[in-house]
Amino acid sequence: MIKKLHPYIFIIPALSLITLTIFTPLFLMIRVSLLKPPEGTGFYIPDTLSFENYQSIFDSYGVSILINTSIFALEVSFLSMLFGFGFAILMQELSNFLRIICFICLLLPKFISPLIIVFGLQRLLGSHGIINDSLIAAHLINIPLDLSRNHIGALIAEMYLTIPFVTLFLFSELSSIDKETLNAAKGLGASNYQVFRKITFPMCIPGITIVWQLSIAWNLGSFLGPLFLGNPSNTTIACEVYHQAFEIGNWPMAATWGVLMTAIIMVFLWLPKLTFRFMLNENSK
Amino acid sequence: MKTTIVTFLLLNIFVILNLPIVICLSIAFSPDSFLTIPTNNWTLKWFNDYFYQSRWTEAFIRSIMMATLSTFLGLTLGIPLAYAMTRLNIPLKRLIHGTILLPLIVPPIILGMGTLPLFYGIQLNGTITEIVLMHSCMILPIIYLILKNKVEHINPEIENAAMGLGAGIFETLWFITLPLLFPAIVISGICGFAISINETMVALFMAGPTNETIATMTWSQLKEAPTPLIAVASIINLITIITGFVAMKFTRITFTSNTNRIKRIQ
Repeated sequence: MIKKLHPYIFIIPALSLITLTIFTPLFLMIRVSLLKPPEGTGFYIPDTLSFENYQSIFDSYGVSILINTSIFALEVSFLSMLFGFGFAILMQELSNFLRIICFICLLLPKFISPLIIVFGLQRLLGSHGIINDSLIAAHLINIPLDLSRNHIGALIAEMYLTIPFVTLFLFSELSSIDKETLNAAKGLGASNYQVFRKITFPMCIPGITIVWQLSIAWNLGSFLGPLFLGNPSNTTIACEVYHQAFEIGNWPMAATWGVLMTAIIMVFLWLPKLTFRFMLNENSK
Repeated sequence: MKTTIVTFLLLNIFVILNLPIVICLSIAFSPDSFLTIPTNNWTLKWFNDYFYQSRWTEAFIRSIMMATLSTFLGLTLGIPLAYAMTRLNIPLKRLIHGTILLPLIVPPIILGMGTLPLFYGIQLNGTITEIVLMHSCMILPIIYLILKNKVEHINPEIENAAMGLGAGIFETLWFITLPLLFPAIVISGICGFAISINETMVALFMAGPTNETIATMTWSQLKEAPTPLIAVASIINLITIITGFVAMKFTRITFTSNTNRIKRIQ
């Protein structure tokens, strides 16, 4: 009887909200990126059409930002996946009580503003931060270690923001594997490594693909880490968008960077799909 | 022996993962204005400052209002959506599913940059309306995923039984399906609220100088000169979220007494 109800009543409102807040802005951003940059006042010159933004973006500075962003996103996603997968596997072995504690520890960063995490990391890693101060007080080092305001600082900050999510997702993925399959493999004489290599990992590949795609899409837009704990030589596209839109007030240029970022995300979303599909086919043979 | 080592390792790792948060929150109790971790003199004077500065309290009230409104909007759109996507025959279901999950993938900075000219064009920039719209769009996929999972676990025979006994479609949805969904609605609502109240990037692009939220206040302090007030603000936000969660738990017990009745039948 419920099937007779016209389904569109339920769906149209949500879809129209998404159209208003995602698709319209995307198209509008492409349009704004084709406007001419402002001269004097205003954010853009209305009713103009030119490709000069796209031409001016591909100078040596622009290309270096593009390469920086891509490599940075790949690094952060890879390291977070590595740690997250390790945590998720270890969490399988824990008792229920400890598992709940781990869940709380993983969820707490999600209920607190990322700004606070970045601020805490600044206190922790800075040249007069807690780590350096305590190491100097213990006479282990004489000069403070360079942990913030460089590539390592930005990397650590972004990993802090990504790892909780990755761990939670991979944990639920690992829990859904039937334990009997693993026991059967062990009973037939497989070692722990073989079980992981031949059963656990291939069964997780669909989940891993999704997590990888999500984390790479987020880290291509990484902003807080490079801004607060990185130095100007490793700025990302997101920092450049913010800089152009707010500090210079040049909306067409900011929109051009935004379009470029969307394009890169699309490329990166398609690549892992292809590779993992290839791996899946290999394993099923 | 092996499990002890694993446990020890894991607990250490998770303590390290939460160390920046603990450090930052402990600064709220520090007696002096430079950001030191308090050792022996713990004070509450920054909490006092927070409540006496109308700029912070107004931003707090605005943030709460914004988060509540966007959670409400997200739930009103998300509940029917999740229900329809599991129970009804919809053409192009996979495409719609992908579209709904799109806000999860698009980085917030693109959302911010894209909507800036849009709301500038329709003279809505710097108002609460646009932040509410953007935030409800961002929390919609999470509400949708949690509720969809729950709807899949509800036995459709219960609804069929209610309708067989003469209830209309909307009566069935209101008296049977919604009470059964209530726990999931609470969880997804709290998640949406927490995301909306902590969301920085979109709020930064949308909120003008007249509509500061806690997130943008924290941002501007961090850019210029951070004071312990940002730690105080985030502690109060966290307390609000936890209070909301507990309050919803209690309303659930008193409000939906017929949930238990249905469960007994089930």
